Amino acid sequence: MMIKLKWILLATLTLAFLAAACSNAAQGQEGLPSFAYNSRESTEGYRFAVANQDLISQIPCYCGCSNLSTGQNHKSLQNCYINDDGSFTDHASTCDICNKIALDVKSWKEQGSTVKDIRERVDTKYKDYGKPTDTPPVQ
Amino acid sequence: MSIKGGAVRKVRETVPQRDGLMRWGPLRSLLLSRIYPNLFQVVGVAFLGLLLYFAFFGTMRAAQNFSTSVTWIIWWALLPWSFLLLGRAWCAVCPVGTLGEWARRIGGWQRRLPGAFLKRYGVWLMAVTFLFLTWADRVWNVTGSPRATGMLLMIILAGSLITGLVFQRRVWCRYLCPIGAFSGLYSMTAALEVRARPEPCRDCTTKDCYSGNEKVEGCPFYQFPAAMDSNRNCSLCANCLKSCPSGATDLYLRAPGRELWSLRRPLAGEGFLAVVLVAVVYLQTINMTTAFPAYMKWLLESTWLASYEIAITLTFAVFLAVTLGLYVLVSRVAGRTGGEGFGFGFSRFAYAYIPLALAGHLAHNLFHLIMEGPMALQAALDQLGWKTLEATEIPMDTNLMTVTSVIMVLIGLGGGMYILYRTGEAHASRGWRAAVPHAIFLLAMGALYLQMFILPMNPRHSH
Repeated sequence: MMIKLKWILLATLTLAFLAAACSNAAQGQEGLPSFAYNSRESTEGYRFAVANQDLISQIPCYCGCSNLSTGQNHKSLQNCYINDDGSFTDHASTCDICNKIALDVKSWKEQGSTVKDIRERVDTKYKDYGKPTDTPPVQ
Repeated sequence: MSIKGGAVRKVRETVPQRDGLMRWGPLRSLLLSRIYPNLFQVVGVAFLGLLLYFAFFGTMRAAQNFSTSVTWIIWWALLPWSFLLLGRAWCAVCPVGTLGEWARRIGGWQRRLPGAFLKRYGVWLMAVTFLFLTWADRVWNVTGSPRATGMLLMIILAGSLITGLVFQRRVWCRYLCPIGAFSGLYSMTAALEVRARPEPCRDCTTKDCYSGNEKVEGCPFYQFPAAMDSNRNCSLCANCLKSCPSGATDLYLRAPGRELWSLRRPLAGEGFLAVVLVAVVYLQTINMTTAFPAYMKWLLESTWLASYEIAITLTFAVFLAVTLGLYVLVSRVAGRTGGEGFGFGFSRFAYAYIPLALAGHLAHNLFHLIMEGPMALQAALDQLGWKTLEATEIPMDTNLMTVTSVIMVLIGLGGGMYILYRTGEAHASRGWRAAVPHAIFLLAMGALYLQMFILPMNPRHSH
């Protein structure tokens, strides 16, 4: 058992070394703030949001952010990731629902759904979650 | 592993020479009645039904879902406290184990254990499944998903039911349950123990405590109380208290953690698990601090790694490998300086790491319990139709939380150091000096824990 353990340790350390050796390969590629990397879902959510701002600005969010105590009420799922002035907000970094919606949108987009279809699917799936953001309908 | 004759003589006599708690009438009545643990088991099973119902049919919002709120914010946070105070008493009333037991009684095959495999590798299997669940939670966010929580409960329940239908007694709880992996170790720190007085047992011919009789089943964990020197496989189910014809078994209070240095037979698998626990508690807690996203940003933006899953898996693997590697190294040195060999250095001292892991676990969950507990309780009651007053997050005095966590870790660290000293004195021919390499490593891990608990933490569920 100890000999096997040694090999497992060695293999893992080799992998770690390779990771370090290949460092800087993609430095600064994403430019997301630290809080975006809070979880797998938030990382994917922020990545998708940055690359698809036009799409998510047409999708409502159902996490309750239309009525935030801060007074900065969100207008769409976009505001859960990116403020109106273009800066990042940490809201979605700890919000399971925002990220669930964003990842659903991502998945449906990859399946070839139109923006209108995606909007309808989001409204259908999340309608029981509560009050959505006041996002204008898709034209 | 060798324990020299002189060292063996130093081992403290583990048979208690003191008055047991069964002298206290109400406790005696409760433990000897059919109410315990049956009534608690029925309530637990009903509660599991609710958990499963709301996991699959309740709201998808984790913060408002009965199952995720109760399971991860309340039960999960209270569980390690129960191990510290009551040993594995949870296992006696656990609905998952109970349903496995009921399945066995109703239509079980009652086969004996499959050879020596589970006996030998059970603790390793539990360690691996525990590690897998820890990793899976981070990658698939099980705690943040009611459906995933329900699936996890179903998988664990299926394991208990299948083993209950096939094998005798509680094979699942003893050898396979992933929670059993740490409940066994943490319960060794408990202030309660069931033990037997040796005199009546010496002349006993029936051994009802082990085999059972027409009224009560034998020990579900295959324990013989007269030979027990550890809580790791005792669920305080009270079967042995009920079945002993001479009343030799009793419930005793003791100094928490005493068995960690007086254990007769340390196991390499448990040693491995104890070190894994120290590493996993660290990983699970550092994951929730604000420093972790910054680390992940560095890892994903500054290396070739682009996948969060691979990055987190590699992080887990490297940290575990480094911790275990250092532990192996320290054990070699301790084995040599103690003059007892590597096996001694590896297994014997590992139990001293348990208080640190437990302290870290308690401090971590205390944060969730205090900060999110009231809202989780309100969400659970709301789902049951009991509308409560609006609960809000308790305004956190983060300094107080930090100080509390640091004090808890210091207690765990101090306890671990004391256990190292006692272990060396009791079992090594060179006394406490054999424990010095482990003391240095334990201090290093303790310093890591302290540094971690100073960092701000994120809540488990939000919005």
